[in-house]
Amino acid sequence: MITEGTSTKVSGLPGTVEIAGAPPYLFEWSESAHWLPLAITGLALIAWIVSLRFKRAWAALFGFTLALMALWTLQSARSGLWLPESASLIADEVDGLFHLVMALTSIFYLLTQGVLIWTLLQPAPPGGRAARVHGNHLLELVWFTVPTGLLVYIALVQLPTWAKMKGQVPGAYLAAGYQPASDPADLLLTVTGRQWEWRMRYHSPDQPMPVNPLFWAATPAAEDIHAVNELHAWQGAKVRMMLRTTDVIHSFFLPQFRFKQDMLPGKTIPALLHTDRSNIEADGTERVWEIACAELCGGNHYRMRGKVVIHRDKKEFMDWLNRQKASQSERKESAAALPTPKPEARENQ
Amino acid sequence: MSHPNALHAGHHPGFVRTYIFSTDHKMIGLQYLFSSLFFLLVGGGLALLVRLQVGYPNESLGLLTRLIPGLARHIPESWGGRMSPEFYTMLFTMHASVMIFLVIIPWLTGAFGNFLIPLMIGARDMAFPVLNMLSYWFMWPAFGLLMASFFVDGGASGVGWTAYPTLSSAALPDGTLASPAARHAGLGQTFWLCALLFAGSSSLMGSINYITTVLHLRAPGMSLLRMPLTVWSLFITAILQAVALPPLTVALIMQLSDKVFGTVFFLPPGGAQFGAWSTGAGGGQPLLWQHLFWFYSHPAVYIMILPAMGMVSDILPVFARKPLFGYRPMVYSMASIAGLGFIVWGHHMFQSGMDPRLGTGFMLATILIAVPSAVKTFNWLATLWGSDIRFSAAMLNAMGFVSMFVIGGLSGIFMAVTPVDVHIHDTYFIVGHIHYVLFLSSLFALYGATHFWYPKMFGRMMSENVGRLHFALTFVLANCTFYPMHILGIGGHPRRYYDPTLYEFLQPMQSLNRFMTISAILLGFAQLLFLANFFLSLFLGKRADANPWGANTLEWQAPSPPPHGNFALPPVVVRGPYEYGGDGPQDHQPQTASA
Repeated sequence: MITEGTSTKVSGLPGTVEIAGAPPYLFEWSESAHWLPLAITGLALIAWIVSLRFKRAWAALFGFTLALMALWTLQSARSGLWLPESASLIADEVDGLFHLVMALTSIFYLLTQGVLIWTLLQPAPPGGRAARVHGNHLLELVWFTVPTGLLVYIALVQLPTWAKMKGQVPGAYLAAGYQPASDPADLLLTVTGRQWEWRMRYHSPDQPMPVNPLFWAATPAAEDIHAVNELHAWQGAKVRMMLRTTDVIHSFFLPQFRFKQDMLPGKTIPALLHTDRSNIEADGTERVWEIACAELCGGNHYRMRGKVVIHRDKKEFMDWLNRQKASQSERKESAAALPTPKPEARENQ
Repeated sequence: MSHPNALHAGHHPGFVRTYIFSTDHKMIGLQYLFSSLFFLLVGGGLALLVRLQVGYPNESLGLLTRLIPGLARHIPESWGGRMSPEFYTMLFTMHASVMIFLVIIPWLTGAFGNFLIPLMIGARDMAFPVLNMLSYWFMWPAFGLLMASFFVDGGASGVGWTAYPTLSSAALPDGTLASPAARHAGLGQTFWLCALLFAGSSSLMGSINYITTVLHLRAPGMSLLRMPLTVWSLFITAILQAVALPPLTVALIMQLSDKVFGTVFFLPPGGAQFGAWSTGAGGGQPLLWQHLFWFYSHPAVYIMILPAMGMVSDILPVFARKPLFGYRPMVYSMASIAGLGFIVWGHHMFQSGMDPRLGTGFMLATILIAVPSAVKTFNWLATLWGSDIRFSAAMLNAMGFVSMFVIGGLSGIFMAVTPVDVHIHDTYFIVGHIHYVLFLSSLFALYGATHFWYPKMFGRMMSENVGRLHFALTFVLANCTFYPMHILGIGGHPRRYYDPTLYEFLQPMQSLNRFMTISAILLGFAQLLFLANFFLSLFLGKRADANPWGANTLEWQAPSPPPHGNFALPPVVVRGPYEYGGDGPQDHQPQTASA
């Protein structure tokens, strides 16, 4: 068995993962993960034994399960095992919607479970026979109308957020498709998924923004700046990403931005990212924001890890971009001596 | 078989015609039941291996490789005794495929559909008995191909049960059917496609049979609105299957053709590039597969839940000794779930690159489908309200269904909110949701139904105490296994990850992952209680009379087990199926006049 707090290392193997030091287990179950299921099984056993004598013990089993779930939900929300840190105002809106649905569904859940548990405890009907009731029109009307009203509310309240996420013109969410190319952006890049990495190609800020980003996405220019598995931008930037793949479906997942978009072979999908917060602390250290792949793309699907860096201002970003550019031209010069420049050919497919 | 039966005196089919190539709907139902139980073990074993890997990604499998024959082949030395990531993709793909296509659907529609429909509507057999036999035997190529695929070059399919191209469809033009995209997308995937074609054809034959039987063979007096909800649900399910299966069949043939004959239905115009090797130009569209696949597979979710709803609606009144609350709203809500079920498939594809406007339309339909589900839940609760509950194993499982279906339904609303779905799509939240629907709902209904109709099937009772113990353990442990998945999903834990500890934001979730793994192993062992109860009761169970539960529906008027031809005299139906309780001389009034 693996022990908590020690680093796990299988050296020299493919897919080796090294966790340096003690992983920050927020959930205080590092050891209890092993005995707690057994303890819960024991409680279920006790409930069964008691039920042999007292039938109402079944209510306790249902109640216990309900309490367990409520505790889990509260405990994980409290301990930070919840929605990841939010990186943009849109992500805040998504979280708001999430909590709205959470509140409404919790009420319904507690209501239905409460009634169910009550029916297990209720006294026997008078004379031992239940009334032969086949239904009630008014009740049916009530529990048809109330959920319908709430659900229609949920349906309507989410529309503006969906429109914003997809970069649509506000107010036109039923009519507009993907965000219009005329919508201005501060930074343009393509993200190309392939087995198993993300290739970023940034449009050089020295050049004028292309009129048609779709066309630019299909035709790499010499001035473009390349990076692998690293998405850089600056706080407050409107980033237009052109998402592509050269092999299978990948899904570009940025948990902190509540952003996820499949990359579809044969298609370039435009997406807009608002970066309202930076993950660089005042002292220059970086909080890790990761990129993950959310669509099965083969054996190493789990290894398509990248990182997001939102610099504190445009200058910091430009510094990074220029460093990247310099190392790129160095590599190009040394690669010019070689007969076949491979990476560019791949990008062109 | 030598049951006293006036209509079939002297009719003694041989062993083969009775137990193997039988055309009797009851025997075919039992055949489906037994094969489903076998594959429940296979699918469960695969699930435990998946959980082991996610809970302990850096552990060597050690002892397991020695215990499970053939496993060692997939645990190369270079991985330090761990399973390879490709092997892991195969495990969850085959777990889902086995559970959906060989366990839940055949158990619900094959086993209970066959066994119950003729008995509950007072028919002597299905409308097309030979077609019925054929539908079961069409499952065998599916069984064989899926199991054989584990042993072919490259192993069984590892591209997810959704089999999205181009991962699944890409093929090398060298005739080996190997895939450039993934090790487990070669011959195994071809076998998988063929297996699904057979399973689909089997379901299609069954559904045509059910529709015809329900429409034409009902006993005198059995009007449509006197049918038990089990029959209604199976009837609606059969219509769903008949409409939804053809597009799936087409999609399967297209992908098969892409793999074997090099067509390009799902290959985009620019082709695809795998390492140094490039496919030729395509002309197709991977999104087409997703549309065709989900046009079947979303209704398939209802195929896997509607019969469960129907059977629970029949079990609750019997043990509550109270009529089902709101018979007509129950029928209408099932019909509207089925109808709406055809226009919501796009909610699996909000992130697929489909036009966002389509997303809005699918969102609205998806939100609406929660209404009939809510109506059903409230009617079940109202059935229990003011009743005198008898805590049989069947009843407990049915109540477990009601309790857990609420979670499965409510967690669905999160996904219907498109902006929230962007975050939780393809995370463990989805895995949690689907298991609340398929494991904690459908499987609880199946356990309940098996306890309930066991005396009718075999003439013996299952042990009630063991059944209740199995329920208590399963109910608690299944929640321990699947509820935390929602929490992982909220944190953004992607599904289908071989080693989540690679990611910093997933590391805090690892102890919860372990908790789920331990719970899953205990849950797996608890299922052995059910299997032991099932098989031992065949020989040791208490003998059952015709109507051990005091139920009203027609099958309980036939002997246990019913003879060939079911009823000595054709039953005549005079009332609805749920006349329980009240002040009459008996607390229940069977549907037939004579009793």
